[in-house]
Amino acid sequence: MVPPAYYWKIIKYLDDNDLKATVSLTTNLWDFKVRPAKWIDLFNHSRVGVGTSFQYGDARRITKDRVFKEEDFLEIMEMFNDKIGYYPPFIAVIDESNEDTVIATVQLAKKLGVVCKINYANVSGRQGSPYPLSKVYKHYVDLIELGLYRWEYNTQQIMASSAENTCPLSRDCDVGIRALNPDGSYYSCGSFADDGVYSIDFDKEMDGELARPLSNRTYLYSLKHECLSCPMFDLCNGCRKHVFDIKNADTAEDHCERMKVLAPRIIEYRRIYGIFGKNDRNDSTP
Amino acid sequence: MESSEKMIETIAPLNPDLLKDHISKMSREVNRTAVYIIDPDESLIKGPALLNYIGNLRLCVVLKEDTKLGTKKELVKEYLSSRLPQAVNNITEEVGIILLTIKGAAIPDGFFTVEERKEFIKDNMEVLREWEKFLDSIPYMAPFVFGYYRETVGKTLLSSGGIKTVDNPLLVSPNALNLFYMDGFIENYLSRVARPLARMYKYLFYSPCFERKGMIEVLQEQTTLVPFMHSLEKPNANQPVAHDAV
Repeated sequence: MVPPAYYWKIIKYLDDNDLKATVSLTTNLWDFKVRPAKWIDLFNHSRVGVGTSFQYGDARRITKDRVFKEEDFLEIMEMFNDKIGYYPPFIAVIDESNEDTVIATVQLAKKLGVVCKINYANVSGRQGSPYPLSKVYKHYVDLIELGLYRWEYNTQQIMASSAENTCPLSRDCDVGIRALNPDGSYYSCGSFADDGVYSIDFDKEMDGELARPLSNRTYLYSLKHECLSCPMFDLCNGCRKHVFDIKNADTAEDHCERMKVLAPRIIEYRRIYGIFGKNDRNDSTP
Repeated sequence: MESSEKMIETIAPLNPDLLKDHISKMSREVNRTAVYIIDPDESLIKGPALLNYIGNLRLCVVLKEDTKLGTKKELVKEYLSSRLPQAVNNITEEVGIILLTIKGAAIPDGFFTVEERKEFIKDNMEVLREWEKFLDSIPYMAPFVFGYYRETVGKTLLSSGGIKTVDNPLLVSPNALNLFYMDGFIENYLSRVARPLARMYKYLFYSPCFERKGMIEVLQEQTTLVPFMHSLEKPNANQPVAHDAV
């Protein structure tokens, strides 16, 4: 993680230029736990918002031999609340190794009174195959049926009718997201940046030429041609990286078959719940 | 129609070359400079799936004039309740005419003949009444474009129930926002509204449900209503003004 001075420079630039932008940090907060004084002023700044991450399983480690466990996470959350004044929301990455922990993760978020984000593993870095999207949607449907959707962000997005505008359901993400790699290479998606594909010419864009590296590619448009006439289009094809991964793994047909089983329930839940996550079908209109 | 529009006669699905060309030029908004004249009766994709196809590809479409009556009725009905917006120019125009007809205007044949229209209105009155209520509420919703109003008077009216909030996103399809793109329609329609309804359709107004925009943006870009309200403002440098972010 870069030192606080890096962010203070950004904040100064925003202040000097009277820009409305905020600084969102996603961090495991380990350095904050060890050296809180280093971070307190920054985390308390009005422009700064902090999110963290936690997932069950053995994949997250503090050292080679020590797993980052629930008790570590809770200790950090309490410390953050004590010193900064709120519990930060958190992201959990789900793959085959910890898929049975989705409900427990959201229950943990409920206990803390925060919204978590259950993300599926893309093919990036050490992750060799994508976690099947149809399985993720099964988890989201389970969360709706258990009444836990209020504590999970992606489920709320799915139910939000056609208001999808954040990752992994924003098909226009390449308009507003940029990822800068340490080597200077430049992308519109952190996961594609890990893959090193669909890069953007940094200099050209800084000269005013907005790049759309993902939106105008037929290969990334949909998993199959049949998707184009399907009511589930925006969910199955919400993330271009996932379209890329599923096509490359040649699992589109398998995905489609499983999603067709789930689709009637998802469509019905979207119909019932609507955008603000509550049952407002009884909103009478005299 | 603008002379720069390119008209392409086709069926759905588009052939692979057309599809590739279309995707390569896509942006966040429907590209209205290329209009696809689609024959729904000859298309392999039919009914609600055809509208999904048009919406998912953000095509700007005109349905062929001699479309069979049954097909026309099915597609207009589906358009009125679709969660996904579609830019189908002659359906939008016909729905506009239908709504003006309900307000007492006498308008000749369009996508429907006068008789077909009369029958369609009779068969679909429930959903049309919801659209009517939405449009009748525009005078109460429009001032919410202004941040100052939204945070003061508007906030009070909403919390006191002086303006009723409609939370249900499914009462009126985002396709209703297509009407704002019809030259002069909103002004014409509002001139026929005797008593506006005090309602705020939260979903259509604020959420990016239509080409990644909500009514808050569409109102500013496509009607004379907001510029008119601007003209009523007294110049005052200290007063917060419109166009601030929601």
